[in-house]
Amino acid sequence: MSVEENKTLIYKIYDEYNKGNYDIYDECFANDFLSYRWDGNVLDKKAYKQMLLGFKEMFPGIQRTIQDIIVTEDRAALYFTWTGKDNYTSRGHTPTGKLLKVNELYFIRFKNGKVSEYRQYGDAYGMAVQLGVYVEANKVNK
Amino acid sequence: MSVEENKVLIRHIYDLISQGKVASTYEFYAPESVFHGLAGDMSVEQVKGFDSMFLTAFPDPVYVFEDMIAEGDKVAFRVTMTATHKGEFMGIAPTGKKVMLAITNIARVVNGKVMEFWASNNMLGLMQQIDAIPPIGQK
Repeated sequence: MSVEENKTLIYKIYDEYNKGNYDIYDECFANDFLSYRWDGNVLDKKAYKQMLLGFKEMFPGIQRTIQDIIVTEDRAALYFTWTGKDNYTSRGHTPTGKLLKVNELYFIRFKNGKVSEYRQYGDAYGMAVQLGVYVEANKVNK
Repeated sequence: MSVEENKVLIRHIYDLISQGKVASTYEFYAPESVFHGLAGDMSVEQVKGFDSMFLTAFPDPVYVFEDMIAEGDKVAFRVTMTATHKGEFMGIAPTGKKVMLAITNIARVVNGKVMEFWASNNMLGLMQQIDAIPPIGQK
């Protein structure tokens, strides 16, 4: 796909995400999609969507705002900010309802007009500080 | 400059730091450049202060490039830093531990100089490696 087509695809996914249409991932992600997360975990297409649905519960009203996108014919780097209210209940945390704001940077790969790979990096430290908790010890990123 | 030249510039900056020549990197930043860091925006002078603190704590960093994506005047890149925790870092006494830091940044390059920098590094992972983060659920 062209640079512009790839850019349009990413904006479409995030626009639909913000409307709560998570089925967009079924349409726009390749069946062999993999998401390599900052904590060392790897999610397939189904697990990734489940993770997003979990996030929607943990951070109600979650919205993602694209700050910057750098695109080639098969790759993209996506810098965005998400905001959502703290309804996080894991790790001994009591939800505060406070609005959280977290930056993330994804490295994306495209294949046959679909998104085939995410490598997700985000400000987990900033998120932990805003929550007042520390998240589970992670494996070192590679 | 071309996107390829911008990539070469970014790689060169990190190669210099790996060689212990951080002072030589500042000539590649425009005087008015802004670093959008995890703790807020910094000027070049503030970055020099941060570098001094960081390199005192981790004096032997080696940076390995994992990925680069460039378009127009922007370069996004993933770098893995390995270093030894030999000095105090954010109040944490040196542990002597070998650490790895995943660095994910975007740079905007204008006329051969870095004009803006957006940092999204895995500080949580780094803090955990030097035992600065208390166990799960504790504040």
